[in-house]
Amino acid sequence: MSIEVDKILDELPSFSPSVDKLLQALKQDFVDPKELETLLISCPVIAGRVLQISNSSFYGFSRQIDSLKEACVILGQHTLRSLIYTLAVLGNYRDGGERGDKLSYDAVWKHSLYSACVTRALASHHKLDSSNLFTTALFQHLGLIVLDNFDDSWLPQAIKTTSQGSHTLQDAVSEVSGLNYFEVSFKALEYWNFPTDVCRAVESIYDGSAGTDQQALNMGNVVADAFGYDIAPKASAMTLRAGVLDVMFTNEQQAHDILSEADSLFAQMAKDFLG
Amino acid sequence: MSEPESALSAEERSRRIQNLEDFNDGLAAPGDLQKLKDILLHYLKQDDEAEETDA
Repeated sequence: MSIEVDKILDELPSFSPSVDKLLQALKQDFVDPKELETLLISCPVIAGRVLQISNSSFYGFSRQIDSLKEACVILGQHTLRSLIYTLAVLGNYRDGGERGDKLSYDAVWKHSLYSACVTRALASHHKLDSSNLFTTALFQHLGLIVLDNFDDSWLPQAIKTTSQGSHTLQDAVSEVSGLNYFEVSFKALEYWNFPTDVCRAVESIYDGSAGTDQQALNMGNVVADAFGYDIAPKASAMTLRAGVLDVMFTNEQQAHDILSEADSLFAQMAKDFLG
Repeated sequence: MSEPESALSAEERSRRIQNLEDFNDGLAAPGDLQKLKDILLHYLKQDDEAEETDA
């Protein structure tokens, strides 16, 4: 089976008019913080979460951020853009986690968020770009949701195959749809004008790059599966690649610190992003 | 430096331990897989032991 990714992207549900207006404004290189604040006020759910997350341990600012305008100035437009895109996409694809045999979007997000927290903790211990890798890990599996939105018979078949243990989800999805879902994730992020560095990092998963960033992403996925944050029962999001373990976890104490940091972050972020 | 407080409840730790015991990445090198499981299990049990000592 061969289907154009562009055709799938054309079927994506649109954002609400106010969210769309906000995202359109963010396409510009610079948006006046006052204008951004006005646009954010018309998207109350996103605005509330922006304030909440700006004040969370994720960014670690020493002082309280009290207004959206202040958040715009202190976070900076680059970070704020990523955060708003994140919240807009997360808000558009939720399902409450109960879809019977079908792909649970909330399970995809929970896996992705836990994986993002582990990847971020690994990134900070290995001196990688932790903010970029967090967003990359959070959206790496978006292609699954996009594909399911296009044809909801594909994922149940792929999940059935992967749960038998001989295929990763990526291979199983490729068998039923003829597509690499990481490519779909990458193209969907490009379609929505996500920051270029995040799109490139997701593209690097799809093109099979094997750098340290990809090793951190690999380990994040494997730990999420091992701890039971599976995308579907017994579904393997990614297999542990040769050599990754020794690079990412150099000793037990370092592993403990990384996992402990990831768990603290997840406890906070699950409330902020998925609560 | 003081040890950060664990973000995991006893129930969550037990759920993860159970899951880890059943976890089988069929495509990973068996040696790597076992080593990873040992590391993750050690992390989960270390926090458990610390809690028991505190109590």
